[in-house]
Amino acid sequence: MDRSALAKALARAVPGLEVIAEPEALRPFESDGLTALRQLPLIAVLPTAVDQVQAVLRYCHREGIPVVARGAGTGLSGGALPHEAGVLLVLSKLSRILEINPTRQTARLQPGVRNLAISEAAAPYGLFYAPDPSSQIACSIGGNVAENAGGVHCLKYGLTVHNLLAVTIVAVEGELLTLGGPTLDAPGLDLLALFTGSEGLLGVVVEVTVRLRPIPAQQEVLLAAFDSIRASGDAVAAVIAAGIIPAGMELMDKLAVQAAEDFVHAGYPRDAAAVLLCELDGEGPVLEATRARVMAVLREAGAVSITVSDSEAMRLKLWSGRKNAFPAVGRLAPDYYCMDGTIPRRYLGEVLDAIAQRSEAAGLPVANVFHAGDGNLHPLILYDANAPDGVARAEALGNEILALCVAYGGSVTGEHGVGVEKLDAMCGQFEAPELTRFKALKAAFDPQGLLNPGKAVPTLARCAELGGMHVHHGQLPHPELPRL
Amino acid sequence: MTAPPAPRRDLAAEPEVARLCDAVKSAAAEGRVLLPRGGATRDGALGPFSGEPLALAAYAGIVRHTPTELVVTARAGTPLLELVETLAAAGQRLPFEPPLPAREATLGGAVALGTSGPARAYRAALRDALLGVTLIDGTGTVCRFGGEVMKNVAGFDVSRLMAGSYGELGAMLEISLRLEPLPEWSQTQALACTLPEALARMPALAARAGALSGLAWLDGWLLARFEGSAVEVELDAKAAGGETLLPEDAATRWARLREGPLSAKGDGALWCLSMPNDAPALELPDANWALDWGGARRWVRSTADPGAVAAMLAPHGGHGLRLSPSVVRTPQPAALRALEQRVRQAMDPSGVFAHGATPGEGP
Repeated sequence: MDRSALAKALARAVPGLEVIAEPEALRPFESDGLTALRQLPLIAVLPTAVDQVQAVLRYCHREGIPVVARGAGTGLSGGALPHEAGVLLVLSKLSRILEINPTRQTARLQPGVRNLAISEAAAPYGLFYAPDPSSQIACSIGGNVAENAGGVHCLKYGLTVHNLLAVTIVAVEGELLTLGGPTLDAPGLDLLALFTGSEGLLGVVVEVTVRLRPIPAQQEVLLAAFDSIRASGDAVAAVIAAGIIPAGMELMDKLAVQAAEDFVHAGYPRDAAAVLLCELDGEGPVLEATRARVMAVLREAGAVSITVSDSEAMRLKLWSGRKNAFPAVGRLAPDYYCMDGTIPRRYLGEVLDAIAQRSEAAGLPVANVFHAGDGNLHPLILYDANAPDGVARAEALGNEILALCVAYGGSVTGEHGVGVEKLDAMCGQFEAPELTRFKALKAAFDPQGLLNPGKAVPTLARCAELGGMHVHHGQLPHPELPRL
Repeated sequence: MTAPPAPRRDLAAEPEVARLCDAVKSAAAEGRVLLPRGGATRDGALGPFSGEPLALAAYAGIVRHTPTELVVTARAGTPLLELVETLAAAGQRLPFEPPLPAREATLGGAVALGTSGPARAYRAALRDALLGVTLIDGTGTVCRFGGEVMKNVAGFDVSRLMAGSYGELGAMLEISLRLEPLPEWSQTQALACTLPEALARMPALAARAGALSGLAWLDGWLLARFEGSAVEVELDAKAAGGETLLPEDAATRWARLREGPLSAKGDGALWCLSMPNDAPALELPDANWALDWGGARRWVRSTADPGAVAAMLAPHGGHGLRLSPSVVRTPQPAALRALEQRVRQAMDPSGVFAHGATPGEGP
């Protein structure tokens, strides 16, 4: 079906539905946060009610048309990249906060509610929503569920999956289903856990019930400087080993520290090889006791200086460097490529050293800014997409880093998702038996494969072909596929 | 280059695992049904189960406990009590306070039932602590999902799906869990009150960020447990008020709440109900109640019939499990049951694990 025919048919099938079919009007939807990959959908639709979402899916299911759901479009792995022959289902207009229930400590939300708006709405009740991805000003809860979003504070308070009670989805054939419920545990299989982080492959989120938590009495941040990246990584492991779970623990290496300092003047020591930000929360006396323990561990681990925020203004200033680190690093080179691997925390120092070696060998600088407490690395590979082989070299180094994470018992993605970006890397983490089960689970929800096709789970054929890539280095398979 | 520290072990090469895989393959080929079985400690309470037992208790032992990482990987047949004791010796524990019904109860059995204790409402559920599961699927093939890292969004989260799957998705071999440090201090405050008074007071106690790790009502006492640093516990306990229980007394009461606080013997039926904490005190005939999870889990012994219990729970979005005289579950929506059935088939195409111990089936 061509663009205008589909637009007309859907508008007829779903009264009142906003349909966008002009290529120029579709342009803003051609990519998500991974802007290197672009694709116009056949059409985009912006439903304003759940029954419209159901009607769209019913129609597409009947006609065999692919559907890609999209929230705020902040995802970093191309999970919301449109399908050339499909409908882009934009959920940003379903953006009402349906209920804040302070007694239950829950919020009921439409999928387009922005992450930060939840905490803002809950604040008058002394509550907040803990998962706080760096895009929290813009990203929406439906996308957070689809990606199992993390953030700085998930070290202590958990990921999206730990803070959900229920998700109402529209299944591929248009049926409304609620996974989980208003109770702490739901009967039957934990389909809520299976659905969380399923990247739009299993259904479309139309309502989310999240758990809220009491706002801590006070927060403060410790900034510790180290004279080697290895020592800083080992310090993170030492804090956890001491049985302390801070609210957040973030690391930045020298390149990131200097870039952030030049950009926002957060007051970081420019000569440090690494800076560790450690957030603590609780009531005054509790903070004091924890601070003393953390400082002792950090000194023992080789911290050369420790600064403690003495006001909310100073706490926010110290965080500003971390929060602006990506754009700050972005000023150092024409392009950067953000990786998202995870490793067991005890190997942080070792793996950071290994990344530095590979960076040097590849001749591409790597800045590290990441959720150290969770072992979630975000190496930012600096490159120039216009240089000969620039993209290929950056991608090759990225794949080396992800392979390193897998070799250390980790994962190719901690919070950004697989999307289209890490389909090849998935082949290194999983083998045929697991991929076969993933495919079967997908089919249990969506037998025709209409929901977000081609994302998140690579085909066995792709992985088999990729096996050859490592033998014939430099000759990438699937030259037709867009690549970073 | 540094050598990879944790090369992927090929579990299928282990003779015991190969034997289990063969058993699954031949049962699948012959259309027989297998019941993955740990310590068989729940047959009385939750059975009878059908299917030929596939014994997993011998596949036991802690594979890797890295105390500095707060992570453990153990074989599914590992006795839960042994695991709990080993972790305690290293100053750590499972964050979900699992029931410990008998010495024979296994880690795999705990994951299959997915049950968590009083800490579930304020700390973590079993599924929250699950990081990875290696299992034999319905085709007799070893599959490894998740791992030992805190964050992992590669592929569908099959590990957490195993929590509460009742052994119908596969035979678990290895399980990786997130741990927490043993608290420096634990203290329980007790307040004499009625059940409706307890329900009314609980939200205010839970509204304070801090060390709360249990909120229950048992034998006419509201119990609030605080665990953490001594400073934090002292502050929170003081704010809660009431009288401080002696540590042994507190431990006994929380152990009762963990295992099921009401006796399975006696008149009427024993139920474990799950509902929102703000649901009111419910009226059931000849009822004897205990509350856990701040009122979100309610144990009751009553002469009410299952239909009456289901009807009473429905307006609150609650559900229930009757534990005695025989197992009955309040019904689930048909569409959800059909989807669950397809998910089971995705993991187990030939139905070799379709032994029918499915939660969610109506009376």
